[in-house]
Amino acid sequence: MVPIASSDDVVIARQLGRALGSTLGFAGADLTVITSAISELAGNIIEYAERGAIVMTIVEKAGRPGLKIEARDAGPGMPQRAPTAIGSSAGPRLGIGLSGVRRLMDEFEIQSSAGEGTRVTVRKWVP
Amino acid sequence: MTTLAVAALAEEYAAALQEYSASGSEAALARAYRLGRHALSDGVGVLEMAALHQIASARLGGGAPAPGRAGEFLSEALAPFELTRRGLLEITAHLEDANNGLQRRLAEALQAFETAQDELVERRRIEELKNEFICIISHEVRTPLTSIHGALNLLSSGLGGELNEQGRQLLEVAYRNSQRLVRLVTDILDLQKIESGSMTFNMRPIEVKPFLTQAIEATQGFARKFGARLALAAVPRRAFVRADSDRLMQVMDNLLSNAAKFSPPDGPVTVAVTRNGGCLRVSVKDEGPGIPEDFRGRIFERFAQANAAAARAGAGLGLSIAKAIVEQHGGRLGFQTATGSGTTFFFDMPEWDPRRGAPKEAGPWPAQP
Repeated sequence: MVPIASSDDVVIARQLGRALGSTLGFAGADLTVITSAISELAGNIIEYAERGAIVMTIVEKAGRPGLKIEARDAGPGMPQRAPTAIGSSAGPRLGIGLSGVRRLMDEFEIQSSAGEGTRVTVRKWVP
Repeated sequence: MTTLAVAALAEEYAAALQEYSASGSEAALARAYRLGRHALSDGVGVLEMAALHQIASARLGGGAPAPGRAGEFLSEALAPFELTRRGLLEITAHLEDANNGLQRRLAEALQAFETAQDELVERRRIEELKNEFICIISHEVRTPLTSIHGALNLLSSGLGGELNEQGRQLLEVAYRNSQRLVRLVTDILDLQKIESGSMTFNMRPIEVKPFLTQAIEATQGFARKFGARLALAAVPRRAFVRADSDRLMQVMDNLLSNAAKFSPPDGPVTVAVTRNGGCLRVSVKDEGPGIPEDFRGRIFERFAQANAAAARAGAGLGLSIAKAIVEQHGGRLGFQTATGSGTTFFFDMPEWDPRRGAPKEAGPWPAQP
């Protein structure tokens, strides 16, 4: 788990993500995809909740290893936005970022409600 | 993006690249990503990013990173563009699907339209053939039929000697039926003439009241056979139309005869005239059973008959002819009916102003033929 509160923390999370990713067998563009997702998720935490955490776990599905990245914060949440409407509202940066992350990764879930913070969970499987 | 902003971006890019060149650190890569992310948000394109990279490398000169490291840095700076590129691919795929669906539906609609058009053309062709055929037959039949009819007429007037009772009855049947045939052939040829526009109309101003009185008198005898009472309701004073009086009389004769035929015994058939804007409406109202619902749509078709009983009375051309005549006068023929409460046939025609020699009001009427 990497606490996120500044751009230095983003760098640490990226470092950890890159190390875990390459240990799992991700390479080249896929590693860049993982660090991109971490940059976006961590950037959102700083921008909208000031602080939070990125949790990375090695997971497995049907014998295939993968990396799970969870971004948690206790910020204001996303009250007006349904998870299905990602990329269409709530400001261009968040829109492009979250919808982009959804497309970069293999799996994408979001839990968010007003006053209860936000939790975004993504997974990427080793090709 | 302003020139200043581009310059600042180039500056920042060169600084970050230099940092990565020296340290190879994740911090420098995160910086490259942030840089690219801002560029993306500001609408900077991928090619401009590549140009920035070239400029920064050139500026660093000897301090420029080795090619491998430079590539890593550029990849990182371009990574944010992947966020939107994948979205665009998705959108393109959606659009393609939608477009294919539209194309398919358009093709189907066009196909259906063409089929319908072909059918219409074919139906018209058959209709024309049918009319042509009927016309030819009528022409061919008319001359011998006139001879037969004339000969039967002479025979029944006693020329050729007295016949016995049975002979007279047979002659009566033959004469009556030849008359029916003559009327049918005349009707068919009339209708064809009107529709082809080759019938000439002798147009003059007609005052409606005396004209209708005359029409009622002429049909009174026929109506009495059905027990119908023809009556003229109030007619506006000095109301004129411009028409061919013989043809208009034919229309009235048809409407009055029909009304009489379907009138209950001793039922009234009322003729009325109303003014409505620039036109006059002449209506003939009966208190008969009304027109059956399934027959209303094809009442103006040729040889249309509501039922076998009605067929006794005529071939079913009368209304087609009446409608064609009224339309040739720039008018409109219509009806209102309700099962059990009678039928009103009416025609609207432009009211004529005999003093000015022009229609009273410029209405939505076509030019006078």
